[in-house]
Amino acid sequence: MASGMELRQSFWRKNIALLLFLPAFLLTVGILAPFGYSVVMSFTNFNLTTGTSNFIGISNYIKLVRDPEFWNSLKVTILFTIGAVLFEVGVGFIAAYLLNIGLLGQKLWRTLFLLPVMLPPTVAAIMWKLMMAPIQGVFNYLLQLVGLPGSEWLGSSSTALLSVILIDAYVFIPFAGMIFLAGVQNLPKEPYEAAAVDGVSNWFTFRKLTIPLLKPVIIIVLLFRIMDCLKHFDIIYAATKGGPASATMTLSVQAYYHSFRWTAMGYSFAHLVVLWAIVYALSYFLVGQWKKAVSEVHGY
Amino acid sequence: MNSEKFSIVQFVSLIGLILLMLWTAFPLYWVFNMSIQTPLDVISYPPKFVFDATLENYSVVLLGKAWLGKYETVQTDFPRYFLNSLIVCFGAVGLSMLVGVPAAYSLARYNFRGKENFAFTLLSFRFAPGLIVILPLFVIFRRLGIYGTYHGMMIAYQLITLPFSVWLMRGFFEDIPMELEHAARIDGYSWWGIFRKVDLPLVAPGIAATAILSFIFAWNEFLFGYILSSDVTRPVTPSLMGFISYEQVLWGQMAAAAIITLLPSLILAIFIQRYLVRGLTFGAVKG
Repeated sequence: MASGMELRQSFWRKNIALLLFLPAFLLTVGILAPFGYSVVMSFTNFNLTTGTSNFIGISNYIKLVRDPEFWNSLKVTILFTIGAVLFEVGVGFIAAYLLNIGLLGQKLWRTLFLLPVMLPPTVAAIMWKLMMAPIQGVFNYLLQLVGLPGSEWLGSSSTALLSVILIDAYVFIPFAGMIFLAGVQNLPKEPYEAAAVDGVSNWFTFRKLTIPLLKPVIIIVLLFRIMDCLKHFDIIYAATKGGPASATMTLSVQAYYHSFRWTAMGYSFAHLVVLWAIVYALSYFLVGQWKKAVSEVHGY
Repeated sequence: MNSEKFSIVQFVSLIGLILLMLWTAFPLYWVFNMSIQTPLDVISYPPKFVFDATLENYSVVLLGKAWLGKYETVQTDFPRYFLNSLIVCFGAVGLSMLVGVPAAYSLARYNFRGKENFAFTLLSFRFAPGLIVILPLFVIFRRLGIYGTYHGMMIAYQLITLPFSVWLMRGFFEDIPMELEHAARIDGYSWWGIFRKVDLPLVAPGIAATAILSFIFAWNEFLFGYILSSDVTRPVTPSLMGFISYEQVLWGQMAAAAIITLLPSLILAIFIQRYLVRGLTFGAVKG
């Protein structure tokens, strides 16, 4: 009896790491299964209405390469990502600076500043949609007050992409700003004291000291923002549904339409597999860069 | 010369800060403004900054009471959507915690083969396009007959809550010095005793913050609820899409629904402010 219990105890002790880990591992495999399903189904002509699913090799991918709509959505996705990330990183940096110089009420401003990042993105999209309405919207009214021409905002194919970038920026500038702020607050004091003793200019200190020390934090912001923008769905879908005239048709929205409007699931999966490959490769690269930067700065 | 230059910098900074705060606050202020306007005020031009406030939009959204007079309302089931969100999010977060706390502890304290691969796989879920999981789940769930059920959605939401929980809590466990555990072991505590008496109290605030943040992420999620729910189990964020087709008439109600939907996230966010940086970066940046 006793030995049996001891045996059980030692088994428990030996494998405790794996046992604790097992449920999460099973759930992860459960999540990976749909991934695999997507990849496999991207080689079929799986259709939701007819229920057919025959293996058709790489036909979906050949069709993809020849599909101008695919190239358009890839272009839109890349433009959206570049525009939104540049905007968010730029303003986020300025915001971090402004919230760190000790102006009166700093704590309150910081709290207010971070609120949008917690908004449901769809709600943010609806909020801005209401304000961007071309005729009764408050934005055009405010623009007109200061003598600027109004805009069609989301309603015109020439301004729609810019408008959804603005909405995304509203939600995610706080993300970039907060992380830069945390990075700035965690900067070591000594190198700056040394620089001050040496009488180095502010610009030089910023370029040669602050930027390199902030590199891990900058990479983290880029990693999260680039990945989120590439796979972007909710703000754009809630604001424009990909329109007008495919001006905001990102890859995810395009894939959604292929599966639910045209029920061409196989073709939709091909889109998603391509998008996922891009995202996976980029995130792998950026995570590597981040680890490198961390070891450069902190020496571990 | 220096002090004059300094004051100019300060002045520009002050202007910058005011602009930043306006940019942040104005949309929230304006949508709240719209939510307490009558249908006539809300579509008037120029937009009204001063008006007789009404709570009618909220009562329409929450109670389904119709406007009197010539403006109509759609009968929404907003309270049910709200309840659906609560059920699904609580379930999803609960499951993530149940499974995530032991896994995070295991990753933080033990070394085993494939550990880092597993961790990166979890992280890569965070960056994967949601549809690549949701579409297969849509097909699989329909075949299994759990499409549109609460527990189906709770499982699907693990894609959002589990990677986040495991990564964040792993960091919290790693923050506890090993020496504390060694000391407790010398004092004769069993593994379970150490976990319960030493680790858990220290990591409790972190676990609470993780749970709250997961809840916010689940609450804010759109795509999973949009595709995997039925009319009966629809969460609140996708339900907002229903207002859009009627926007010409229902601006005030849309605004009220938007405000009600964002309140839980905003209020919770204020409570866990100091964990936000850490949470949003999966523990990569310690704020």
